[in-house]
Amino acid sequence: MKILVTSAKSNISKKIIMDLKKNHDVISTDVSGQNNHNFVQCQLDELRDTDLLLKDVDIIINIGYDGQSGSDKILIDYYTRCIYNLLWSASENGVSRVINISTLKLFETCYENLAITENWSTHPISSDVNILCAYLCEMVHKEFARDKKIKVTNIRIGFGDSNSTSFLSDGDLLKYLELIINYKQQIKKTPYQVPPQYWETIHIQSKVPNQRFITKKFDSIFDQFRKNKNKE
Amino acid sequence: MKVLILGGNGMLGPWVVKAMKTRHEILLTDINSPPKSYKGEFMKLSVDDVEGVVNAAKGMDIIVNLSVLRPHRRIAFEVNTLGNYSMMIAARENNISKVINTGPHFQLVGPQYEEWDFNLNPDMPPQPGTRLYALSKSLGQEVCRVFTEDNNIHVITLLYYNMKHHWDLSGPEQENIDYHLDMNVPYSTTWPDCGEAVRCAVETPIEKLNSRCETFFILPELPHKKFNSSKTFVVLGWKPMYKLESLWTKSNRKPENNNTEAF
Ligand SMILES: NC(=O)c1ccc[n+]([C@@H]2O[C@H](COP(=O)([O-])OP(=O)(O)OC[C@H]3O[C@@H](n4cnc5c(N)ncnc54)[C@H](O)[C@@H]3O)[C@@H](O)[C@H]2O)c1
Repeated sequence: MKILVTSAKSNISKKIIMDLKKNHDVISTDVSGQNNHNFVQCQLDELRDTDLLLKDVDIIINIGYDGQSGSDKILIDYYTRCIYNLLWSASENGVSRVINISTLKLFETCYENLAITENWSTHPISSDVNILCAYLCEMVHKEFARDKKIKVTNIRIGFGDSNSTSFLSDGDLLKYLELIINYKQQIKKTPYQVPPQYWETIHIQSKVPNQRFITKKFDSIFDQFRKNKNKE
Repeated sequence: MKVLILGGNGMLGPWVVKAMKTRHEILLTDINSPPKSYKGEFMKLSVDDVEGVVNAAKGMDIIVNLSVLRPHRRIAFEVNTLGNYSMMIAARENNISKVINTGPHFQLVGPQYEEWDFNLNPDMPPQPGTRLYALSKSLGQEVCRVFTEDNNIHVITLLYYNMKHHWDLSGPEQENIDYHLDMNVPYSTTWPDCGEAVRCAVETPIEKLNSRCETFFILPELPHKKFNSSKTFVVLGWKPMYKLESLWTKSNRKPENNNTEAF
């Protein structure tokens, strides 16, 4: 399976790329920097470069939060226009799936004791352009899914240090991500169950004391996966 | 009131100026110069210039955004998405509590609604789909909404479909209009009525708004009930002069040759 990881220069990408390389054919990209062995430099314009980047790619792992730096203008441009171009080229070039790594910070301003799940509306804020961008980036993905151009798994990941109730350790991130890459929606087409959806959100964080976010959806995927593995 | 208009030299701008010029102080801005017939204040300004928009908004009571860029893969985002970010920063920095935004119906009602449903109303969650114009405008709208969540800024968004002269229903879409086929485009509103809607929005007291972010479809009441604009009449008090009956009844009204100037 060939995987493309975006925002190659960011810390989160570096960790993900290193880990995924153990089991997958991985390429990575970023909008600026030297074109060297580490990643492909691509501006994500509506040009052939973007199409070429996506050649034979099966899955894109997009860093939907905190992958880029720069002025407000640069960030908004990246998370709307560039992501639009990336997904447009992806859908034109037969990429079937994108995993967008967003953030649970979209709920940071909510009370801690709320039992927040994937079915809750996010609370982006205007005073932090990075959070606003994460929200806009999710929205671009969602519209591509809505038009059935590409399947999107939107994962919102925990944040903060190991004392935080929202913490997600690097180890858990990498383990969970591998699982999500291998997981296929297993819904039978019966009158009682709907066919697989193009858009799905999953919240993940580590199991810490007073865990802030409900991760039952992910847990059930995890259980199912383990059961299937055991059967094999 | 002191009104800053962004992107005011397009097709809609002159009608907005006409509807408001005797009642409000207008500062017109655009990247292009206004026609010579325009007599008011003007400043060259690009909406994606955050600092420029913040400065232009100093001392203003309201910002009205008419800017739009439709087909370009880069500039569409700069004008339609980033432009709204500049506008909202300008409102926040200058303590401006009311902003009027404009856009096409499909920034909210994309094909997944329009081709399926009826009684479409402006309080539905947006489903623009991936069409460039619709999505870039819709992203801009979400920027506005997020700012209203945590700032004391009210945004009234007016969504239009087609704009027409009441004496000439042709348009850029097709040379010889096929009237009832045009019902595939379910709503059209006359230019003066579109301009009036902006004036109504400017003059609507914020106490009449249900929330800090309210959207309105600008269309006359139409019998096909595809879109529901009842909120527009009640809240904005907008009363369209024309209903463009030829588009949705069988009596085609062919305007007489010299009956071409509405005003
Ligand atoms: N005309 C229609 O039939 C129609 C239909 C539906 C919605 N609308 C909406 O009505 C509003 C006005 O549309 P219009 O028909 O007047 O469009 P238009 O294209 O005629 O005018 C847009 C104006 O924006 C200006 N502009 C472009 N880039 C700019 C920038 N960077 N900074 C500042 N100004 C810039 C242009 O110079 C132009 O004067 C838009 O929000 C549009 O989406 C119009």
